[in-house]
Amino acid sequence: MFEQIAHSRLAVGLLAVLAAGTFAAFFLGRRRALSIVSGKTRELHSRPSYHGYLVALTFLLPGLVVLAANAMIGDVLADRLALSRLPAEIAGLDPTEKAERINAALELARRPLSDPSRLEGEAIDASVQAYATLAAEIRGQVKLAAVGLASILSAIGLAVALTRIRREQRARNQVEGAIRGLLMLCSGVAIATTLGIVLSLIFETLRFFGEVSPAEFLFGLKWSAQTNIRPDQVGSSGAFGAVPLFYGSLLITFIAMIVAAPVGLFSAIYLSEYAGPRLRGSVKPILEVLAGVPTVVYGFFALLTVAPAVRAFGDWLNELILAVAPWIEGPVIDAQPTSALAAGLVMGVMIIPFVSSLSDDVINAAPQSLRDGAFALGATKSETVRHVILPAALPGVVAALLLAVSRAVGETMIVVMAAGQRAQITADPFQDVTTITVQIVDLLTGDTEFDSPKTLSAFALGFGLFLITLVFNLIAQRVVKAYREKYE
Amino acid sequence: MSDGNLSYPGAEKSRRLRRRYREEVRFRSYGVAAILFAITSLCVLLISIATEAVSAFTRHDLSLELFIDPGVVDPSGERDPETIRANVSAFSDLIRGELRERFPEAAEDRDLRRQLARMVSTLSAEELAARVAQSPELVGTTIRITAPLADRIDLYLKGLVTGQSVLDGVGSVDVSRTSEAVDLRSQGGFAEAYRSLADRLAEEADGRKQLARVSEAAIARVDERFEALQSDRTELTSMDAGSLAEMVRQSIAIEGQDLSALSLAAGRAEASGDVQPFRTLLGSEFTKRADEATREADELLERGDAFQKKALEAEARGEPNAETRRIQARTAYLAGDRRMVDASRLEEIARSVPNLDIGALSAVASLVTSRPLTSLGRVVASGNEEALLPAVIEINQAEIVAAEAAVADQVARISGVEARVEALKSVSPGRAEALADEGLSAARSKLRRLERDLAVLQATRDRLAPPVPSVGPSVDTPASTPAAVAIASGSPDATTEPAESLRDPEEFLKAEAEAQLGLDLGGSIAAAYALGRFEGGAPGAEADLRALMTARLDRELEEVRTDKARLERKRARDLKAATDLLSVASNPSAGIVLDEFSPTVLIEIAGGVVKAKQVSENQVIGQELIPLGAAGAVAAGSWSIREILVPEADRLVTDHQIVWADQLMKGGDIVRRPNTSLLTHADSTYPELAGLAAGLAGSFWIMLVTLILSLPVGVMAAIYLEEFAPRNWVTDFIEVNINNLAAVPSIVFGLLGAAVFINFFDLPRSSPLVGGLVLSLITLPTIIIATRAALGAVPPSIREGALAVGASLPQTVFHHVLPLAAPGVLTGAIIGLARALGETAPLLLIGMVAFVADPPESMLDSATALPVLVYKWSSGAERAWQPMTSAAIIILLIFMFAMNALAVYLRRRLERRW
Repeated sequence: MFEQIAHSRLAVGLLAVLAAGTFAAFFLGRRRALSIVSGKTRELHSRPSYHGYLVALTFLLPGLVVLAANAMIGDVLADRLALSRLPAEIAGLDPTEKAERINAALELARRPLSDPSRLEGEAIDASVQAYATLAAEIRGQVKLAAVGLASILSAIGLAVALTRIRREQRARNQVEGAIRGLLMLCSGVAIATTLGIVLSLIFETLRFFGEVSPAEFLFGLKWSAQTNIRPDQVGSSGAFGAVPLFYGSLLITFIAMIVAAPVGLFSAIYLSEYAGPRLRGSVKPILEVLAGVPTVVYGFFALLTVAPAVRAFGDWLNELILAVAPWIEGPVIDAQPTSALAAGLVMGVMIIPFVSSLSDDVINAAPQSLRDGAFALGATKSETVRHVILPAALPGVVAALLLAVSRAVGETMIVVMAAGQRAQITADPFQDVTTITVQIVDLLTGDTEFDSPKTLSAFALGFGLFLITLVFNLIAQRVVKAYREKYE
Repeated sequence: MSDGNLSYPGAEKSRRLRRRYREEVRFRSYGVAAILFAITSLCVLLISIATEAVSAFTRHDLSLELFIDPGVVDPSGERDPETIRANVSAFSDLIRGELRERFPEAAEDRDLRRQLARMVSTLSAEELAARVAQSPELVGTTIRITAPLADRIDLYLKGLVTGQSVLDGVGSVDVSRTSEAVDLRSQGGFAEAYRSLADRLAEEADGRKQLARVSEAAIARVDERFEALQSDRTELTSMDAGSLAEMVRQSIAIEGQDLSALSLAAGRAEASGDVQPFRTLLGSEFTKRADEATREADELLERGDAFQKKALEAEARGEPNAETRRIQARTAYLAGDRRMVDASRLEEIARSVPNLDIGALSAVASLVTSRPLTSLGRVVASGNEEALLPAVIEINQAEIVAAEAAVADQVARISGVEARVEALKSVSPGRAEALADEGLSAARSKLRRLERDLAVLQATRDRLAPPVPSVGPSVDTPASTPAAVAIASGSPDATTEPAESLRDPEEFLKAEAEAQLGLDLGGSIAAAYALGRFEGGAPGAEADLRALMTARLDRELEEVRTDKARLERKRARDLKAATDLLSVASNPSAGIVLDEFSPTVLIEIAGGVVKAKQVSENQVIGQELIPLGAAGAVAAGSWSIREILVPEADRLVTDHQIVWADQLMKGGDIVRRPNTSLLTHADSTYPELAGLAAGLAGSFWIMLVTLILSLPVGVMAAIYLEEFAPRNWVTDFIEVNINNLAAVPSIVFGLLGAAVFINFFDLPRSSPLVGGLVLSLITLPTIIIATRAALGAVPPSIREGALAVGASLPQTVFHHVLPLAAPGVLTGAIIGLARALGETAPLLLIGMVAFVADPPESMLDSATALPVLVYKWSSGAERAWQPMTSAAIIILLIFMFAMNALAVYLRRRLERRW
């Protein structure tokens, strides 16, 4: 019987009951509050609806908490219990065999009763079958216990809340307290997310450093995580020197910033200092469109249009150099189908709107009195901008550029599609390089086994990436904040 | 300051002013240029993708009247839908049969039949079968079917495969037929086609000439190198001994490493009799190696311990990877134990080194160099017949010593392994067993190999001459070395061939000498040894050294010579090809022969099509692709010439397929229609059948999860922070957090999803639920920031009014402030969702790259998403994927722009200015 329960949707059913019951509880509570004062709502401290809300909450919450806990740890708990009741014929086996059978049984117990693959195939051992039944039964028992506990607690909650309804009960304050708690909980999600990111990255990174030394990772010049490492291969492993990846990321970011910084900055200056409101109103949305295009589209653009153009340009340049200097041997520029330059250029275009809108903000934040003062001295507009506004806004502009850099370093799809896979340190932008993000995607797509250093290295890279962007972001935020406060 | 200005003379002042204005204009133009650059980039992006996408929005279908032959599709006559559906090959036969009827010329030839069949998409028969199975009454009737064409034919018809040009045919044509070719004659009628082909040939000839010039330059460089080597070679013979030694020393230093140091010391010791430096060097070498082995062994054993521990833990938790861990532990232990044996063996040798004499030392050193320590000089100087035999014998002798040492070492190693096994038995039976199993057997088989090598060498010795016990002064009698002692215990099996007498001793010696040369000519070990002997003052060492270097240079010279010959051949070939091409191109009467690497010339004439094989101004000899009518004269104007520019070898569509497709197109049997399958089909490995349905559904589910999770949580968080939270460090911290999260790269969120949702909570990979969870975390900061801005924009008077009439703070917020801020919240949410719709990287990390054939049916099914499909299609190999990807992007962009437009509309419509 318990086996059936294990596979039933009992908990889901109870959830539906709880949902429906919550409505009922609300009306029950309200009616009871009304009946206490026989309809004269003025005599109540809180309005009847608040009593209803309170009753509904005390009904819903305990059951919900228990069910949520069951959903998260119920099965794990059941498997632990099942492990402690291991039948003798399995417990007596040698460790390998034992683990195998336990796994098989638990896997079997997880499959629904109606699943035909339960019966056919792989000639399941009788002891495994028996243990699977036992495990399923224990799961059923745990589930039943949880559902029972949830029902009982909710029922108690309902009863207590109903009996506690009094004329002078501060139901509104209590409900509002609960709401406040919920709101706080929600704003805590941001912290939880950061915490989740940091903890999971640190945890996996430490595991990675258990297998590969941090010195090799940080200072090694050779990266070849893709050389597949067999689990039984000992004494040799892939190379995990991350320097070429960091270099690749920086090279592409550098190229992107060469494009984005002047273009973004000059368009921001033009829009905020020169352009009239109509031009501003039509150009800004276009820049916003540039920011809204998904990065995978930029990636395809790089692949389809920019990379071939860059390659053709590189070949042309090469011929030009060889024609001018015939004594040079071999190709000077060996342009590749995917290149750092192609990815960097497209990424630069993608970042233009970030630079321009952030710098636009800081330039606008510079007080008008500065401009007026400069104009009064007879300065032209460009002189005002160059000698007064930009120096005043410099911290903000630097912060904007930092944010843009952090964006570029973390950008993924463009480089995945257009930068290449070769981990190398080269100053030639026509060569293909690989970046941190490319390698993360490469390592974590396909078979992900959370054991091999290959997979774990992705987390170490991710941690490095997170730290880099975090530092840039924090500095930028601090600078912007200080800058704002200075002129407010 | 004004005083200073006034002091400028007038001309200077106006010049200054002009400069300042120029600067102003320049500065302004920078801004305009920047904005133009941004706008141009956007336009180029959109236009390049849109033009690429256009072709994917339509497609060509074959539209045929087809008789559904009951005898073919349903021979049993039961009209059972399942049987019909399963009988796909019958339907594909029907379609092929119909095509073959149209083009009877294809029926004869197997290859043509295949080409014809490949014009329709592979799966079109499946669609037809499904359609007939749905309404079995169609069997036995004639219906009109539309079958998608194969992607390459589709691309051809869209003009994306090759350019074409129509050339004028002048005058009338006389058609005559021979048994295998068609002969078309027309006075000057093919002149334009001929000229076009001739131009192309001339171009190609130019290319060949260019190549020849490149080869010429390379030859010049090779010549230079050859001369440099040659002069080195001449110098060598006249060089005095000191500079010769210096030259050798430098060449060793280039390849230099500890091995050559060792052989240098060995050579010196052998020549001068002062063994001590060699002994010290060898001793420290072995000590170093032993230390290394010990360290590695320790590391491996530690690793084994770690894996063992992990295995036990995994087992205790019932995790499935316990077995893997155990294998890892076992392998690590095995390698560690082996290395341990190595270490003790190496230590043993290191300890014995101080007591060895020179012969034994050389033998031991050969364990390190894995080559016998001899100077090869005398072998090299093989022009001297008398020197040849002793040299070969000497080397043979040295090799035998080295091989004996290796055998002895291996025997000692085996006993070391056995000792280790014994020692382990009490500690860890498992490890002992593994070592006994694998370590011992590997070591034994290696021993057998070494013994065989030795036996071969000994056989050679017997063949060389009446055995001479000690020819070289360097070789001691083997019996005194520890190597020989060991050999006595493990004597080799007599697998050697019987020592036959030398039938042709000179031949044999030459072969043997060649073999020796091949092994280590001029390698650093031999050179170092020879140098050592020279430095030690051994007689004849200088000659050896000189011969060695000479041979080395000779070999390099030989290589350079081969290089040059190769380049010259290539140059001659290119030049000849260029002349040939030009002579063909400049001789109009001879005609140009066309092959699959030249453009295709088709002559359409009297309902048939001829593919030209040979073109001259007045005559075309060709092959009928579509049969012509009767032979005879064809009037001017009723025939035309078409040139297909891309050669047949460079495209996937054959000439036949082109002609057929054109014919079908002309007959109205191919229709171009909107490519609805782009929206209705799921992903496929065939571009002509792939569609976005699964991606759209997947994206919809993901967006739904994202909306349900991030909107309420985000709004509530924003309300708390904006309206309720006290100003303290906790709130500040949360705020910094949110701002930072907004700037964290999305791929990091993907890592979080992979580590937490998939690995820790064990949620199904690539499910919309996980995708939605990750994307809602990404969207959350955007929504919070937008909501806070919207709440902040609500004037305080509203709040104060509500509070003044006695509303509580929550009532104020929920009844008054939030409704007023709703438009802003909504706009922020929509923009956040639009951004999430385009996110790709985090979805890749949670496994959404897998091929998903069907739209997901629940939150937990495997799914794919629109941007992921874009990514996947973009890496498709076929040319047809490119327009498909672009079309997918256009659809994605349409959705995103629609969402953004909605947001803008809402903002304009509902926004209130206070």
